[in-house]
Amino acid sequence: MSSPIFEKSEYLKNIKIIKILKESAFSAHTDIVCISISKNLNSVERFKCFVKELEDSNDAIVSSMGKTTITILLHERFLEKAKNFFSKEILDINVKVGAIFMKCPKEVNLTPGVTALISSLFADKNVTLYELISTYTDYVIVINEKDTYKMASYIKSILEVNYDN
Amino acid sequence: MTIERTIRRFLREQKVKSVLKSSEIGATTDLVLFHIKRNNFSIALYDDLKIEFLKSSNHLRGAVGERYISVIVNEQYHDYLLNLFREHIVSVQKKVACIILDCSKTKNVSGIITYITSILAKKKINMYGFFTSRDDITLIIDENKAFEYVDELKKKLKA
Repeated sequence: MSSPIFEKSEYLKNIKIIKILKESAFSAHTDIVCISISKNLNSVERFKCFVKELEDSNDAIVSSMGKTTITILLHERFLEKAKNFFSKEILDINVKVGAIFMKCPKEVNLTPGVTALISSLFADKNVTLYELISTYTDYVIVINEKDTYKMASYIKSILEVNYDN
Repeated sequence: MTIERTIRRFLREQKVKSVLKSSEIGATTDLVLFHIKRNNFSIALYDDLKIEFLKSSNHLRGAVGERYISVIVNEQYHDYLLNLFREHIVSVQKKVACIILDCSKTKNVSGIITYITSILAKKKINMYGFFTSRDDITLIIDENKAFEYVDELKKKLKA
């Protein structure tokens, strides 16, 4: 069976990547906010207190620490608390964002091209990735809230196509 | 591929290239990457580690996902982290490098991640980790491929 995306993404020809993605679990969430704060001793210490103060810190936050910034992804119910906590350290707040979570099999770490393929699916639809965070076999893709379920369903539909023929 | 799609793709690539041309690209080697199970214990340790490393101006980058934490430190801290996280460690990758792209004008430009990761895919370079934080992008790859990759990326941007 042919698919228009087959022409767009050369990596789809790589059956290994398709197999990995087919075996991955996808979930999509909205009502998320993405906050960027300056990376310094004060903000890192505050961040530690913030995590401790949340009722269930283990479910609440996804974060990444770059060269000069820390990006925090959390449910919008924590936004006011985060604003109060980080106040002057906040560089950017993106409200109305959504996240697609992917849990892949271990082979993802041994297969070049997975991230390129995933991100190309978003680029093909002109959807900007606000953040992309991979930790071991998991991915978190942060995009505009309005595109979240549309993209999750698009990815699922791409993976339902039989590429063996 | 239709002509329209080809043109759209070409224009997108030109936009991405112009953003990346104005970005700072660098590589840091002699690093070790830890993947750690996420739980309250490891989250607390990781938060302490961030404070400790910032105080001593040591290299530490990382990301906390739904199930795992990824931490990249200088290889001299390999044993230290091994003892700290112990049974919570899922995997350790030695001899890795961080490719860091400092892009300040990437907002609303789609295709940047596709562009930089497709070069890795074409060269069959495996990526052990990837994360963005506002303006910067961190890629973790084998250290013996790091400079080759940066060189290739810069060549492609100049072309």
